[in-house]
Amino acid sequence: MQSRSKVLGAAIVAVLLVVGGAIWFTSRPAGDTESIEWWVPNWDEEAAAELAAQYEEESGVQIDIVQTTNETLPNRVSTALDSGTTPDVIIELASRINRYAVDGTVSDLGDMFGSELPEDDFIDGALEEVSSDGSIYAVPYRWDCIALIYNPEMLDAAGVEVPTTWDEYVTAAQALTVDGRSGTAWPLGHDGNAALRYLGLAVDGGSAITNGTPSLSTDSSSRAIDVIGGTIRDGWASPSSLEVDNTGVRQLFENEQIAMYVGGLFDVAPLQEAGIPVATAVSPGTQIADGWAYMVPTEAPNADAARDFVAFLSTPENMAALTESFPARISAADDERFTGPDAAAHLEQLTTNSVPAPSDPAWGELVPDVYAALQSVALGQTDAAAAAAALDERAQATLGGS
Amino acid sequence: MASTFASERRGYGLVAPTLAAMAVLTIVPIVVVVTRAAGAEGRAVAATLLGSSEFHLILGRTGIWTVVSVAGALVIGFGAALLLQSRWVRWPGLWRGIFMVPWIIPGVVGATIWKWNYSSNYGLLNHTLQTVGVINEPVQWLSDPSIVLYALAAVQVWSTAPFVMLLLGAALTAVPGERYEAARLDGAGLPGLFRYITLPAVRPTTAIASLMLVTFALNAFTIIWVSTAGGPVGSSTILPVELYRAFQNGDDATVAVIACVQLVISAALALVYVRSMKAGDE
Repeated sequence: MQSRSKVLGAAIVAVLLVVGGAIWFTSRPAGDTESIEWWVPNWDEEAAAELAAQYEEESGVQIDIVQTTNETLPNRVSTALDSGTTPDVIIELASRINRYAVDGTVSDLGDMFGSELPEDDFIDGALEEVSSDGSIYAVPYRWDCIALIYNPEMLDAAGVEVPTTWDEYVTAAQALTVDGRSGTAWPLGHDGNAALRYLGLAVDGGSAITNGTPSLSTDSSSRAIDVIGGTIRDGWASPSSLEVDNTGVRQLFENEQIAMYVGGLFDVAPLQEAGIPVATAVSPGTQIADGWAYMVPTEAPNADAARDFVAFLSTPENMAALTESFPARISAADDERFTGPDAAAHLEQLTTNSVPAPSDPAWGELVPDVYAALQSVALGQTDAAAAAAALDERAQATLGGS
Repeated sequence: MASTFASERRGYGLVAPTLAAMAVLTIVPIVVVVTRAAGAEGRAVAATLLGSSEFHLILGRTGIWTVVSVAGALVIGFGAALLLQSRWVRWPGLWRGIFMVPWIIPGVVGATIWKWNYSSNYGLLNHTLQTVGVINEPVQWLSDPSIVLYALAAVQVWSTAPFVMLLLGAALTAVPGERYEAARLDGAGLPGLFRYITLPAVRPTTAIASLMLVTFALNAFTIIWVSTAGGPVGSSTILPVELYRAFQNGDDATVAVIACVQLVISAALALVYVRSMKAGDE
């Protein structure tokens, strides 16, 4: 009996502790400026930790890094912002910032720009991507786009010149499809990756992105679908295209299963380290530029400290330290990593023939339809013209006309 | 009597916090979801969804997925349980442990392993089948719309069969050896022993396992999302995947309606199970 009473007592104490802890956690006062919670994508975590340590030393404020992943980031951020239980600083894709701005869940950081952070020091398109109705909702720190990556030995062996138009690209892919390998590959295993490839081709063919909203012409859409889906259907692009994302395409190249593809600058170093012959060139046509940015949620517990931290991260040297491709500030781009020969093609693509990614949330709703159109043509279920016509109908409804 | 009453009261007191937590964590969300689905927006979404041919295809695929994955797991799990129960198998504990690995490892890890196994270019499965001469060209396991759902259901079977093996193995252990001895003395052969002793002995456990497997199948998401995200062209999209897509788009009404459809299907199957158990008892 005595032991039962002890058990009952222990259970009551445990329940009281849990309830008390929950009440304390949910009602603790905001504004604990001794620490800042910073959400960082896994590929930036190492460099971010070094910057955080430096800031901690200078300011005495503790930085708690929470790792995020590309796949889970949008849902995680949406859930946090909607619930009001947010970190202080979030690294998010620049083209997604306006989705949150519409709901009023991210802070306007416009007052941070000035002599220390001049707006005209940002690469064209970067600030526009995170702005809406005169407000700037984030500070971009990285800005990039894809360009052509190819195996020069394979092209030489097949007697193929580096393609400069998409028609040449398709012809080259056909000529490079020999000895059990394919000319190229597309990331049709991932809807977002696939949709951006499509959009680059569509814009190159006459579609446009105005104020963050794409307007698709049926002809350019049909051509884009035909280049991507058609090369898979005809066998010039790897059949694995339907299974892989951007990283998977790079792995196909790394395993010499394909001779060329369009990919980011961040792919080049791993390929060189793997000992694969690799060269880069400007892509045949326009590509879509996008980047990563620091945003401060409206409900951030330490909004003022978060702004100070973002200001620290946005200095040219710190911006350069945390980018795998190109920094968003022009004054941060002096380093050899950004101006050397390995980066030249991507830099030229970015500065001469790229357009910012759509920031209109409606584009996100159209992505599954774009994805389905590309896959259905790749699988030979329909032709590009029919897929483009169906997509055009959906685009009219989703994006409000073309 | 007074002591029993006090003891009961203490028992209720001890389970009360758990009951309260369960109410908060399950009943409240269910009520919220059903309320949302029954609202004006939810009814409009339901009307659109239930009249949509694409949604009918999703329901059909969910049915195929459920039947294949449940039947496969039952057959393989039961077979493994019988095998490990047999006196000819040495070190059954070791084999049981190895067989449990797919059930133990995280779903994302299992799905990623199979995504690689099924790969057209690097996949172990295609490589093995080509090496032994079963196929000449790599099979597009994850990108052929006519194959992909069955390929993924096989992964679900791989993941859940150990659970069946564990449950049915325990049920088989509980069958007294004397019962088999007596049947043998009466002249029963292996088929007779299996049909008249083994099957009736494991019937209740099989029913529980089936219900659990159906629940697992109707909630299966990780394997499909990691491997194909429901593609190509929606050919591996089942209800939980469609629900997640709606969640991604912030479409709360569609999420609530699909969740209710899943709830109705699960409840109907649970009802069939309860009735069959009652009929069996009578």
